[in-house]
Amino acid sequence: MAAEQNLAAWDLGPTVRASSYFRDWAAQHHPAFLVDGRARPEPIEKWASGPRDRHPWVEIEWREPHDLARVVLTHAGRFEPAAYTVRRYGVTCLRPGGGPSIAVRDNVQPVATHELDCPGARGVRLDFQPNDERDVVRLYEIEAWGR
Amino acid sequence: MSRRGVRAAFAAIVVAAALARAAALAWAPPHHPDQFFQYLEPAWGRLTGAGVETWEWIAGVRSWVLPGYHGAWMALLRRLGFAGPTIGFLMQAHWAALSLFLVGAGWRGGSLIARRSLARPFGAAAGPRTMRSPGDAATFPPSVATAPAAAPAGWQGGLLGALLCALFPWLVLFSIQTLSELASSLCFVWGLVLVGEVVEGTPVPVAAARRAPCWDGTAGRAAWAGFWLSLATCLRIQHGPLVLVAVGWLLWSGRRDAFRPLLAGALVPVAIFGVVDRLTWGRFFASFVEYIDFNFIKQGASHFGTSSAAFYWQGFQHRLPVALPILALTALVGARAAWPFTGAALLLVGLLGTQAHKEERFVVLFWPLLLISAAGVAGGWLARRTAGADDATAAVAASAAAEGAPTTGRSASAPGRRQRVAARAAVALAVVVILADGARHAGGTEFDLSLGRFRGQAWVGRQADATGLLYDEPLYTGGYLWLGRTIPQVQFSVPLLENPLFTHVLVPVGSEAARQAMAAGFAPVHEEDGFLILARRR
Repeated sequence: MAAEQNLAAWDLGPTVRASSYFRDWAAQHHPAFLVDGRARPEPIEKWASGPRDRHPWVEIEWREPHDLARVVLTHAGRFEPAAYTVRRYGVTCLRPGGGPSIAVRDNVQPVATHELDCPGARGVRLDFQPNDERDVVRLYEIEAWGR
Repeated sequence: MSRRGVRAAFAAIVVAAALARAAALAWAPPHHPDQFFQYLEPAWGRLTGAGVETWEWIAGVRSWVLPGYHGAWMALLRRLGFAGPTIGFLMQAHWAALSLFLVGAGWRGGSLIARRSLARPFGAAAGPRTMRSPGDAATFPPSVATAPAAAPAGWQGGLLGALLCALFPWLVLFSIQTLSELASSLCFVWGLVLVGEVVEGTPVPVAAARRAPCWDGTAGRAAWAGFWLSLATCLRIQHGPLVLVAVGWLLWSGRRDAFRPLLAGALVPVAIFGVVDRLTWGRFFASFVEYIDFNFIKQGASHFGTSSAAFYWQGFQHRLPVALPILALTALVGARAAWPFTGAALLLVGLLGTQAHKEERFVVLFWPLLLISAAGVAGGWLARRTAGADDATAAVAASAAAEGAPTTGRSASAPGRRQRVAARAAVALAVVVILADGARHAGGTEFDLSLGRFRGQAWVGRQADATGLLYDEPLYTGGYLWLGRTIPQVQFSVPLLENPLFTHVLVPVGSEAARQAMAAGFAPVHEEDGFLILARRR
């Protein structure tokens, strides 16, 4: 049996898509930072959604089908104020014919682990609801562990 | 000069203008970061999903009309397979091409002012005064063949105006900048010229009249004048007050019949900009309201720096230390004829001088207005000096012939010829001084927009293995348009060298950042005009 690995790691060549990102000329919070695997990132090395995006989402697709086991999110509250941790979001396994999903309502964990058993997964999608209608979503890392 | 000669001279001026702009495209650096981040990058970001988004585009202070126009071109060029940097270059080339219309405005405006300074009724050819040619408009191509083919009245001012607008160095360098100041200036100058032709009652060329026999020349011209003046204002609100000069000109000359078509033409751009704001920002004219609020009520632009009241005049003297008095004096001497153009130029500087935040690009419209004024006045003077000599020569010859005395062509025409030569030499010398002085002082801007950094960005974008770029100055780049990829690009810092996403670094040769990158495992792979590109060693 293949060893468990982070299927979203940048060196495995995933495709990252986002509905938007915060792209001021001095602060580009690019979605690629979600998969860079940085254990102690600088404040710039996070994804942040665009200021007018009221329904931000991110998708990570890997090159071949894998058996997904769990998704780990490193929220901004891990390194910045706790209020930046997103409270409400959904995690969906991307699989032909549809995959399981989880709805998170009251997250306060800066590093949140979500068990998501999904054989033959092609990727994972996260749909966020900003904590405040004038705020953005901030996320440092997405890890998708599986075989 | 014959009509054919004038036409050939104008064509040569247009060719020279095109060549000058081609040279600017090849070698001139960009003028201001705004030309990318305000007018190109927003469109690129909408098309590709990756593009720098400045605060103005979040706060709703800008209209989407100009970026939308650029975006339409970008979409077409992308469909044709062009990459980002090439598209950026083509957008600059497109504005350089459009700026050639300023040469036409210089011709028409200079001719107009020359005729006004001569106080000669329109229709009189530049040859013997007995000749009148219906439809002998100072437009090209002249649509009515006269016999003999005499040059249109005011042609001297027209050619001078065209020449100065074509080759004035600062205007040539500015022609490749994708800024709203350029677009608005083109529109305003044309609008003012058309108003002047309405005032003068310049006939519509016969060919145009034949195409639309029911279309009154005055109404059509006034409508177009209103359209261009309105578009100029919609593109740059700061140019709006200058429209009062055009309106005042019509009032002063009693051309109230032109107001209705002028207003009709003016409503078209207003409607377009209003609807675009409604569709993009949710309210009609939302960006105009926000812009006025930020810039004029809150004086928010002063956060970006303030300058003294003399800033603009110092800038003009810096650009043209020797020749500025020549232009100013000429325009002043001919103020009676050129007052709408010089008045608009002075009003522009006077109004913008009251604003705390000043930038040289805000007053670029000053130059074509001043150049056309001076060209027209000089052209009128030249016409008087040469036509006066011709008349004197003809009078002397006629008198001698009436008395039965042999006429010696040489002795009768020599004074006239010397006068003509001297007048032409004086004007030619002035033109040379203006262009040379302008060329000597055309360079230098307040931003370090080095072409090497742009070329380096484009080079990295072409590397298939590039997944991220660190550069020294994000403000002085071409944004994601010039990278042509959606990979992350952020300002260099030593901790970011550890992030495996960043495979390339773009910094000045010999800089501390280059040394730090090499210490972190990056190796030089390419150099562009003083900038070094390093790649992560694998």
